[in-house]
Amino acid sequence: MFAETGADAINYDTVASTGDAEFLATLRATRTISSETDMPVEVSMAAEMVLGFHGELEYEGTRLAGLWPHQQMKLVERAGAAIFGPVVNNNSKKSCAWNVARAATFVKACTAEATIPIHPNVGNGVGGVPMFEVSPLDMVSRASAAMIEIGKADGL
Amino acid sequence: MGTGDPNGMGMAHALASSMGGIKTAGDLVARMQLRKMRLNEAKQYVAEKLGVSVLDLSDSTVMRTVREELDIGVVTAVPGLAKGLEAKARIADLLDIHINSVERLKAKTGLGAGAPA
Repeated sequence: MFAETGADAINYDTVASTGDAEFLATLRATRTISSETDMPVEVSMAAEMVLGFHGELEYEGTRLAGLWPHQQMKLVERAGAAIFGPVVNNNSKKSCAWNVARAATFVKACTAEATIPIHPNVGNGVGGVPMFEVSPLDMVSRASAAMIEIGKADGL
Repeated sequence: MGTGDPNGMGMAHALASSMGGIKTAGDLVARMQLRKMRLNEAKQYVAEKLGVSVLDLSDSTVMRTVREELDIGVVTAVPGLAKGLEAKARIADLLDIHINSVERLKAKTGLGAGAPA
């Protein structure tokens, strides 16, 4: 339907917010759209780990519950997505520097092996940006630059 | 970018790591990323198509002139220059890519190969 209405692409955002079953549905939808239409698909996650509300669901032989960003990326690639958006959650007990370092480490693990562009989520409470209604811009700009220069992200 | 400004975060990202979107060649590089090209490959592809260096792609002064000359849309509306779908159609030709909305326009208006007989 979207293809017929002239949509240029599909963006699945906050994927797997309700766990492994939702992630499976998204991967299946991505495969269908990528194989049957010319529309690119972006898959962006909701959190860093896929929660196992079902627990035993698999995609092409890989169990979805408990997957981390660099493992999610492999499945998203296989499903035919054009862009993957990994999420790294912040630990609000830790410093901004600690959180940016952790987020960039996860993202670098994705970009090191990815064949498709990686666009990490860098916003409130994810990707090293503090959980706060008014984002401290010195920290946002540091997280932003770190994701590109150290994490080697292809975009945000 | 003061207290309570909802655009505060976006503006910080724009200044820290953004290419600049339609002000530069950011939109073109993004379109090639949607074709599964990673950042460096996408920049190289766009630079070759535009006939500029990779560094020029992020230079808003250079790209303003290049975009005006190629008529592929600029950040401010200029009388006589392409905008909206006109610019999109020219970008599709320039980058040799398929853009769904452009194809639909061609089909519906009878202007392109996708037009019904």
